[in-house]
Amino acid sequence: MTASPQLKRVASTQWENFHQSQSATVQRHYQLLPAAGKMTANSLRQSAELVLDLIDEARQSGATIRPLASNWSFSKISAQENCWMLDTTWSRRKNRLRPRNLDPGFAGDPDGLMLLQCGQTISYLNHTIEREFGRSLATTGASNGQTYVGAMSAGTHGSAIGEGAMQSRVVAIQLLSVDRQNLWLERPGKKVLKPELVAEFGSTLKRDDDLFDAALCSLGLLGVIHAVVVETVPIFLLSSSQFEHAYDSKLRNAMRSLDPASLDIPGDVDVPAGNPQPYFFQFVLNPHAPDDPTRVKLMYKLPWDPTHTIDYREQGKWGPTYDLAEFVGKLLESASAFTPLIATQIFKLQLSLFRNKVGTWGQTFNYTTPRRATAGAAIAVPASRSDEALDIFIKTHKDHGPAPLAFACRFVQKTPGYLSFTRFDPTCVIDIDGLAHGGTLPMMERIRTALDDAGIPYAQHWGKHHDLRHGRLERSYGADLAAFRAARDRLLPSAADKTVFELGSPETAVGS
Amino acid sequence: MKRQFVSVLLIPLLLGGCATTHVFRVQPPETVGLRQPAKVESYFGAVSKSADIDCNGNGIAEVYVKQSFWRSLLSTVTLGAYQDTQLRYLCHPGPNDGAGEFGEAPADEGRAARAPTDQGGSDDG
Repeated sequence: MTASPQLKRVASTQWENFHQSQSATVQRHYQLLPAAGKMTANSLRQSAELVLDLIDEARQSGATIRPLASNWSFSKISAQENCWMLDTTWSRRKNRLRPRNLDPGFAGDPDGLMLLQCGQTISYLNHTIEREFGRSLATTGASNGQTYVGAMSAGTHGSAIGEGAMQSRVVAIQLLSVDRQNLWLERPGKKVLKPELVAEFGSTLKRDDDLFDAALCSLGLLGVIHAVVVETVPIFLLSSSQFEHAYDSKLRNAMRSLDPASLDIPGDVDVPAGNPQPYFFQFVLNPHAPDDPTRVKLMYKLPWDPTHTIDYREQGKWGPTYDLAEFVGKLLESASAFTPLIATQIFKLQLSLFRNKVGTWGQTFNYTTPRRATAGAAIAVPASRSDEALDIFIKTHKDHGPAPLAFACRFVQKTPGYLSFTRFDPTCVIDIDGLAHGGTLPMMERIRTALDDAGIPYAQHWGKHHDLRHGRLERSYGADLAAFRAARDRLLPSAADKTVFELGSPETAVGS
Repeated sequence: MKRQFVSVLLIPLLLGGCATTHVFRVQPPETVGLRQPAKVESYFGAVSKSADIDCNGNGIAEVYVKQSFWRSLLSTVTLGAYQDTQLRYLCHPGPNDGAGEFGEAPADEGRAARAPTDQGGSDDG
């Protein structure tokens, strides 16, 4: 680690994502390394200068830069053939903003803001804010290995029913783009940093809703997001339980209303007195036995208990090996008659029943071991039509299966950002998780086609397996897609500018 | 007889053939960067070339050791004279050194927040 940030070019040009579902040969591979010690305004500015230099060089060379985060996406969103890959994961400094850093017009909780460099992971952020500051994230995805910036850029969500996806808690964005644009984006109605500090970052302050909404979930198409400011909330505990529940009228009603309090909740689940509304609600359905009970997970918010021990340690334990999913997937391709049996066993093993586990947010949503040869898609639909959509998922699988997969329903509020896929008010996200079996990806496509045929509006998770051909992009995002493209035109006026931050097919259609 | 011998020789090769061994630190399971390839070569078990690993001064967080049928076969036909092991590694990001602040704190500001438990401090990675 040196006194100043560094842009280091490394020899390796073979890229593959964390789950090994995608790979590419990149032309150049850079690591953005931070300066030693704590982040200062000067080190943030120096780091931005290095990235701007790289953008200049790429612009002159006609190259495309893909900013790389933790690499967790199933889709080929992180890298593409022959790009210049900028690995941001090393730059993981974070600063707590203090009242002296804030604009006089700031109206929120002055204790709750964290400025994160692009490589800051959810895990490290949880560890710091929970143990040092008595704060918590309001929502994340189910795992903690992603960077905050990478997760928001792909629209990562959880199932906190009162929250949007992760980008809904972002209040400022440092965006680096062509022509040495070092922009500090905020909303006009939500001022955050005082202009003097923004100037110390070398940034131009732009309080502009249009650019902010474009940058919140931008897939790396606008430039490199170098830092963000995230709102945290006072620390709390979650009490989690997973139990069986029929896919019946009560569950359907809970899906449509996001009110799971009326479910048949087992008596040994501790429901907080006076606060029966869960903070988190999801359930998983086994399409191989759709009449069997689903596995419902509820989490209740509890006040912080000063006697609670925050312990993030993982315990070594027996579990499936790294290659087992691939082996089972191949096996089932040859012996599909066994798919329901095997898939049902996996469903039961992966979704054990438990009661009243108490932990912080960071303890509850922790590390996920990578699994090769798995596949995942996530389709957002209006919650009001979520049971209708899930019925279509089940019927499509029944008609064209079997495939080794399961369906999980998660619920979030509508999320700001033109390209946020959790765009319905409120949203149900139906995950299709399974093995990378020959029948899994075709099944995902059959389900999308069935939704098209049924006229149910939907949008797809950018970071998971998706298919955005056939005009689906336009149907999903409508006027918001046009607004995103217009904002991109403002930042990247020429075709050569856009080339610097392009995505390979089929995502190319987003920007053009 | 010869065919049986070859078959017996091939069975363990095939069974052990293509598994990946995954080793990772239990706490904290944090990684940085891409899985980088590296190779360990050994001749006659006496001379070996170690893996060239670059983690920018940090340690390794995860290692994936890939067995393959062809490498096992190569080792077998050379009677163990040549062995190579392909591995891929992920670097550890280094300590989570907590959070900094911008600028000097005015006398009346201080650090308002307190740790919620007496554990405090930063994760030492």
